[in-house]
Formats: sequence, C-alpha cells, structure tokens
Amino acid sequence: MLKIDHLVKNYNTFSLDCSLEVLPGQITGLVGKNGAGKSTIFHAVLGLIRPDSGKITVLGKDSQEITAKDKQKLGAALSDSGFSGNLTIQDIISVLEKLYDDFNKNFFMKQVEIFGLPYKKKLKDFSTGMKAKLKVLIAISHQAKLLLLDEPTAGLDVVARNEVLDLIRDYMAEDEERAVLISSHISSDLESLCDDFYMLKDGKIIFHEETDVLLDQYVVLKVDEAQYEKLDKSFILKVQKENYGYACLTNENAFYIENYPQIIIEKAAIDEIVTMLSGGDEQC
Amino acid sequence: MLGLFIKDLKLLKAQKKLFMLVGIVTAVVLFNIQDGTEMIGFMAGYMVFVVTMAATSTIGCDEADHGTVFLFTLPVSRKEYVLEKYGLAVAGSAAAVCIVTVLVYLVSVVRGSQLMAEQLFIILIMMPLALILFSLMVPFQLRFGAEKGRMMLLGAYGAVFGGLYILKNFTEKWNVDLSWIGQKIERYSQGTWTIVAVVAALAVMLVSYFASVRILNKKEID
Repeated sequence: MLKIDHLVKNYNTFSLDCSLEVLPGQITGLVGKNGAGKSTIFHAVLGLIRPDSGKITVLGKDSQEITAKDKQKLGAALSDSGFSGNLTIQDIISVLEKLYDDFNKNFFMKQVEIFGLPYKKKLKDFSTGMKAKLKVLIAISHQAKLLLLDEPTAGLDVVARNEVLDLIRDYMAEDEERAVLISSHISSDLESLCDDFYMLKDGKIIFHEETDVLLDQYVVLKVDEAQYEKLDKSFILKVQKENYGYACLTNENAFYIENYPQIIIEKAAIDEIVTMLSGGDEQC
Repeated sequence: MLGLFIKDLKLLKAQKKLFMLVGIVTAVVLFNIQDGTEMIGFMAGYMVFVVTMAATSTIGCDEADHGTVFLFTLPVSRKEYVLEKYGLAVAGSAAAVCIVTVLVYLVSVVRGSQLMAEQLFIILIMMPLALILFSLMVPFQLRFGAEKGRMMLLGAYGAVFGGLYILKNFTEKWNVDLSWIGQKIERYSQGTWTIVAVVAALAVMLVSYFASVRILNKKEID
C-alpha cells in the first residue's frame, strides 16, 4: 500500500531520514513528539513536498507521479489544515460530490447527523472536536484505499477521541484491503487501534514493532541498585533511573522471568515504552 | 476541477454584500448620469475590475490556515488549480460585463435613447483589461503568497510608473516628440482596439498561466 524507502528531507534545523511500510489490511501507527517529523512524512507521501532523496511508493506508484485520479483512492486528514473556515458542511458536500467519483453522500450526511455537526454553521466556528470529526469523515467518505491521518485526535477529549477512532475501525472493517497510516504524539491513543507501530525521534525511526509483540513481550524490570548490578543486560533495550533504582525495558520477558524470579516485572504500556525509548539510556 | 470552481463560488458568496453594493452603486450612477460614455466606461471598469479581482482573493482564502495543503490532498492537480483560477476570473469578468451591459440597456430604454456602439465598446474593453491585470497578479500571489504577492505587484507597478515618469522627464528635457504615438492611436478604429485588447489579454493570460503552473509545480506546499 505504502512503502517509504530512505526518505530524506533536509531543512535548516531539521533532517528527516526514515523508512517504513504500511501493508494492506493494517493500521500502522506513527508515534513521536511534536516536531519529530511526522507531518513531513505525510506531506512527502502526498507529494506536497519533494524529498531530497529516497523513494516513496503509494498504491504502487512513485509519490511524485501521483495524479489527481490516483488521489481518488487516498483519504487524508492533516493536522492544522482543512477546508476554508468560511465554508459550511452544506458547501463542502457539493464540492466533494464533484471532486470524488465515489463520494458517498448518504453515508456522509448520516455521520454528520450522528455526530451532531451543524450543516449551516461556518467551519471556523466549529469546536476542535467537530473539526476533527469532520476531517476524518471527509477522508473516509469516498471509498479510499489508503487513509493518511496526521494527528486526527489532537486536542480531543476522551469521548471525541473514541468516536474518531471508532470511525477509523468501522472504515477498516468494511474492506480488508484498506490500510491506514495514523500519527499521534499520544501513543496510548493508538494502542487499541494499530497493528504495528513506528516510533519517530528527531527525524529518525528508532523503533518498529507489531502491537501484539509489543504487548506480549515488552516488559519493564524494576530493580534496585544491587539487582541492577547483577542483572544480565544483554536483552535490555533501555534503562531509566528511578527513585527505587532502575526501570529496564526489555523485549525478552521470558528470559528474565525464568532467570530472575525475584525482581519485579511489569507489562509495559505503549506510553511507557515510547517514553523510555525516547528518553532512557541505551544498553544493548 | 468543477469541485474547485464550486468551492470558490461558495467562498465568494461570503462577499455577496460587497458585490451587491458595487451593483447598486453602478446602477444608481448609470441611471443618474446625463451624458454617458465616459461615466459608463468608469462604472463598467469599476464593476468589472472589482469582480475580476475578487477571483484573486480566493487564492488568499485557500492559503488561510494552511488550507492549500489540504486542497492538494484532494483529487486536484496543481495545473487544474491554476486553470480554475483563470476560469473563475474569465467567468467573473464576463458576468460583470453582462450586468453592466444590461444596466446600460435599461437606462437607454427608460430614456428612450439608443444603445450606442461606442458605449458597448467601452464596456467590453474592460474585460480584457481586467483580465490582463488579473494575469499579472496571479503568478506573484502564487509565488510570494497572497499578502506578499500584492506588495510585490505594487512594487512592480511603482517601478513601471516610475520608469514612465523618468521617460516623460527625459523626453521633455531633450525635446523628444512623442505626439506621433497619440496620433497613431487615434488613427485606428474601436473595433481594431477591441481586437488588440483581446489578443493582448489572451497572450498575457497564456504566459501568466504557464508561469503560474511552473511556479506552483516548483513550490513545496507545507
């Protein structure tokens, strides 16, 4: 569906160099702090910016060669960008009807009604939650094969966040050939949604793992100074200094359960993994 | 592309009060002037230029809040985007010309007078002139952004008029006679000038269109 092979983009104070792949039937999460380079990846995939080097293949085509017709099969919701605030949903419907061959007006209108979005109110007067729901709704209303969602849940409360995530789940459930690349700086948002994760830090992918593996095999060892000294650190990915001693992230929970029955081993939440990977000391 | 056109019409709907005011002012003036051709020309120019330039304002609307970034995620090519703006300007200026023509015709009916060819000429000629100005503005706006583009264009106009002023002073100082230009202009008929204006507008629009497409194709949209 989407393959990014050594995409390099240099700005004055920032450089991006990353590779990733989104497979059919999968929701791939892209996690990273603000400014890590997530939006740059989305812009490059959509052909809005030109990579300095590397190759991006979208739906089997080079991203720089994507035509307007190809974009019929893409759905995008970008952070801080959308239709002009002077338009209303009523206006947008007639625009989308003309732009997309497969625009599903009935579905769109039904969802607008379910979400309680006002038809005749200008978009600039919408709340953050309303704008976010509308953006995702626009992206999924024309039978797109690949969704590119950059921070679709940013600034939303828990209820609105879940509504947006449910919308994406429903979209995926309709057709197993569809795929989604979704980014967030709040990793827990994506924990229940994504099949795999990429973690981006300072323009580089520092981590990639399937969610099942992540939740199954990644644990945090909580050890005091003495335990830490004796610990076999071969499988420790990151170490973080804590009040009680050290928190050590590993993806070999079986090894430590078997060999160190006395230490505290806790399942690692994705937030914790992300925090440790982006902040802790490397140990391998 | 039709989708973009509809979007722009919906955006221009927000300026309907301005268009109504321009229409009312034009109608009131046209119905109250006694001897017409010069004033008809002025009012036709006023209305046609306001409506045509409104098309450039949609570029600014698109740019607001990073809107252009989103627009190019839609099934729209950069070429289509540019083409639609020119289409909008042509449609807008044609609509304005039609409205002024109808108003002038109504005035002639009310007064029991004949609509003169000279009056029609002065109305029609405003369309190519407005489109030439539009064509000069668009590449600047796409290259430098709506606000900066306007400033750059004002700078360019300043340079042109400054150059003409210097030329005028130069010809006066050195006693160069340029009256032959005026004499040549008067020698040709209105029909000839209409054709010249239309051909000039088409040429400027064509060059401006290709320049705009090139500018937009090179531009990184983020």
